[in-house]
Amino acid sequence: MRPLYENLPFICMFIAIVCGVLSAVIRDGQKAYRLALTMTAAIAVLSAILLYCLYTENVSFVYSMGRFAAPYGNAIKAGPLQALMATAFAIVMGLSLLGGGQSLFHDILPEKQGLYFVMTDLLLAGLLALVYTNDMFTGYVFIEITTIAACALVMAKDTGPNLIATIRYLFMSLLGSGLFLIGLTLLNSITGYLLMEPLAKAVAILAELGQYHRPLIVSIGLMVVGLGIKGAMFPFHLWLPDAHGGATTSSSAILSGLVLKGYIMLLITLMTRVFGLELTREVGVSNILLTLGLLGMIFGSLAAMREYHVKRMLANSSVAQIGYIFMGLGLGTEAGIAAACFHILVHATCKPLLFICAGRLSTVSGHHRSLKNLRGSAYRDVAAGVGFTVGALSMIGIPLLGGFVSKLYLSEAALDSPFMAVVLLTIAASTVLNALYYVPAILAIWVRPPWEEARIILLDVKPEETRFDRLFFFAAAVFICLIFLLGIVYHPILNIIRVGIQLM
Amino acid sequence: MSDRGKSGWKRFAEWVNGDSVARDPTTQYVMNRRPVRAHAPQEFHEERERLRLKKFLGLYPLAASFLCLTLITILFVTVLCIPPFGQPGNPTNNEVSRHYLEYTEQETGATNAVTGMILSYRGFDTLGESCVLFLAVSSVMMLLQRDRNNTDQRTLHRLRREDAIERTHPDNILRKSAKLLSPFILLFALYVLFNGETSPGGGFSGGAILGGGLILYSAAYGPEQLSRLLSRSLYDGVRIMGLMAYALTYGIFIFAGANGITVEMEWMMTVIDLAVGLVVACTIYGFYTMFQRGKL
Repeated sequence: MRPLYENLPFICMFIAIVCGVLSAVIRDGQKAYRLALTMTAAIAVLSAILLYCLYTENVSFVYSMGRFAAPYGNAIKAGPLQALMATAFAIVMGLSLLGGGQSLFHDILPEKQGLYFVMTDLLLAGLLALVYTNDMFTGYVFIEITTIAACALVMAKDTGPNLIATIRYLFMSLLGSGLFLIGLTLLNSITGYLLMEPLAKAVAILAELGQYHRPLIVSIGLMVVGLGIKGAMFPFHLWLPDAHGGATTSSSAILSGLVLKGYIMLLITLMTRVFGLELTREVGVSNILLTLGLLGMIFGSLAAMREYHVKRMLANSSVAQIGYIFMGLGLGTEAGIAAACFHILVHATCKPLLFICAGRLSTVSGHHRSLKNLRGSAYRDVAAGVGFTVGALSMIGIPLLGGFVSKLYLSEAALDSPFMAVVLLTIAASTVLNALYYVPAILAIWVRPPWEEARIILLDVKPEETRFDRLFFFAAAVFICLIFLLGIVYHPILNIIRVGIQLM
Repeated sequence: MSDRGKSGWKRFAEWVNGDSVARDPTTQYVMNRRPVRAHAPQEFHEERERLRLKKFLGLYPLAASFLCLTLITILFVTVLCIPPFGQPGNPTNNEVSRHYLEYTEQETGATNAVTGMILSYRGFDTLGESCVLFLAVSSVMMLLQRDRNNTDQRTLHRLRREDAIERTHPDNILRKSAKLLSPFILLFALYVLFNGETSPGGGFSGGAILGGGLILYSAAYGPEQLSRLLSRSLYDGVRIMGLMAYALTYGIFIFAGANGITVEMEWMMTVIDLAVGLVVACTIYGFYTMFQRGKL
C-alpha cells in the first residue's frame, strides 16, 4: 500500500476528465461554468497538498497506471516541480475563467457554452498529463487532446477571422504533433522503449557507443522542433498572434498562459529525464534553442510594437516571453532550466492578468479593441487599469514584481555560458523593447482623451456592461497578489524548482 | 490622416498616445497591410495589394516545396540508418515485447495480445484516445451545429428542398439493399465488438462497423427517419455513458492496481470494449450527420 498522497496526480487527472465528460451533458452554460470553476479549485487544492508532501519529504515517485509495473504498463512520475506546475496551472485556469467570464458569455452562443467547458476541462486534464507523464506515448496522446481542445477554444467565438486563425493554428499544431510522432517512432525503433527511465538508459548507451547516431540526432531534433512549433518558438510563431489575439478573453488567457507551457514542460522533461542535458548540449540542440530564443525575444517585441490592437499586441509579446523561456532552456544548465521554469510561472500569471484586464477594458469601452479607442478606459474600471499596469510592469521587469526576478536569474544563469555577452545584451535590448510597447499602452489607458472622442466611444457602451464585475475583480486581485508573491518571496519557489529539477 | 508633412516627434507623440491609424481588422488574417493613406487613390492600393499577393503566391510554393524536400531527404537518410524491418536482433525485440507476447493471456485474460496491450497494459493511452474522439465530435458540434452565426435562410431553404426531393423520389435500390444489409452489419459489428479479446477486432474496429451501419441506414432512409430512433438526447446519452463507463472502470483498475488492492476485473475488458465501441460509433455517425445536416 502506497501513501495516500501518491494517488493525488492520478485523481486530479481523473477529476478533470470526468468533469469534462459531464459538462457535455449539462446544457446550461452557467452550471458547466460553475462545475469547471469547482473542478479547478479542487485540483489546485489537491496539487498544493501534493506539493507540500513532496517538498517536505524531498522525494519524487513513479505511479504505475494499473497493476503492471514499468516498463510494461503506463506510468506517471511526480516530483516537487511537477506538483508546483500542476498547482499553478489549475489556479491560473480557474482565475482566467473567472476573469473572462463576462465576455465569455457575451461572445459564445448560449447553446454552445456547455461545449466550451468540455474543452477547458479536458484541456486541464491534458496539461496535467503533459506535466506528469513518464511515458512518451502518453505524452503524445495528451498532446493531441491539448491541441484539439486549444483549437476549439479559439474557434468558440465563431467569427470569420477566428475560424481562419483556428485553421492556421490547427495546421501548425498538427505539423508539430506529426513531427513529434515521427521523432518518437524513430526513437522507439532504435531503443525499443517508451517509458522514460529505460528509454533514458538506452539512449545513454547508444550515445556512448555511437550506434545509430544519425537516427538519434534526427529524432531528438524532430521532437524538439515539434514541441517548439506547438510552443511558439521563434520562426514557427506566426500562428500565435491571430489565434491568441482574436479569441475570447478567457481563451486568450488560457492559451497564452497555459497551453504553450504544457508543451514546454514536456520538452523540459525530455531534456532532463530522457536525453540528459549533456547529450542535448553535445548534439547542438541547446545552441539552436538558445539562438531561436534570443531571436524570438527581439522579433516578438518588434512585432508587438507595430500592433494597435491591444490583444494582438499582448499575443506578440507572448512570443518574446516564450523566447526568454527557450533561451533559458538553451543555456543547457540546471540553473538555466530553473530560471526558465520560474519564467514559466511568471508568464503564466502576468499574461492571463494582462489579457483579462484588456478584455475588461474593452468591454467597458463598447468592445473596442484598438489602443486608440481604449484611451482613458482605466478610469471606467480602475481595477482593470491597475491590473494591466502591474502585469505590464512585471513583463518589463520592474523590481518587486515577478518579471524582474526571472530576468535576474536568467542573466545569472547566462554568466557561466560561453555566449554570456550576447545573452546579456539581448536581455537588455529586449527589456528596452518591452518597455517601448508596454509603457505607451499604460499611458494610453490612463490618459483621458478629449471629451468629443470619449463621447463617441461611450455611445457604444451598454450600461449593464460597465457595472462592477465582482468575479473579475477577485481574479485580478489574486493575480496581482501572485505577481507580487513571485517578485518578493521568490526564494522558496526557486528552491522548490531546483529540488524538483534534481528529482526529475 | 496623412503621415506626410508631420515631424518625427509629432508622429512619435501620436504613437505614444496610441493615436496612430488602426489597421483594418479584416486584413489580420491575410497579410499585414500598411494603413491606407488618404492622398493615394484606391486603385493604386488595390494594384499594390494584388502585386504583393502575386509575389507571395509565386514564392510560397517554391519555399514550401523546398522545405518539404529538405524534410523528405532528412527522413529518407534517417530511415536508411534505422534497423531493418523485422529482424530478430532489432532493439524493439526486447524484454517488453517478449513479456507482452508471453504473459498477456495469463495476466489480462485476453488471447489477443494486441487487445490485451491496448486495453490493459497501456489502457491509459487508450482512454486518452477515446477522449480525443470525444473531443473531436464536441469540436465539430461546436463548429457546425446550426445556430444564428452559421446558418442563413438560404441554407435552411436548400435543406428543406433537398428533404422534399428525398421524400418524393426515394432511391429504391439503396433502400432495399440497406434494408437487407443493415441487420447483418449490426450483427457483425456486435460480433467484432465482443470478440475483441479472443480474435482480431475489439472496440475500435467494431465501433467503426457499427457507425458505418448507422450511416448506411441514414443515407437510405433519410436522417429524419433515423433521428426518430436515435434522438439528440439518446445520442448524447450513449456517447457520454460510453466514455464515462470507460473512465470509471479504468479509474477503479488504475487505483486498485497502483495501490496493490486485488479486485476481480474479469469483466473490465468487455466493458471497455463495449464503451470504446460506442464512443467510436458515435464519433463516426456524429461526423457524418454534422457535416451533412448540421444537426442530429
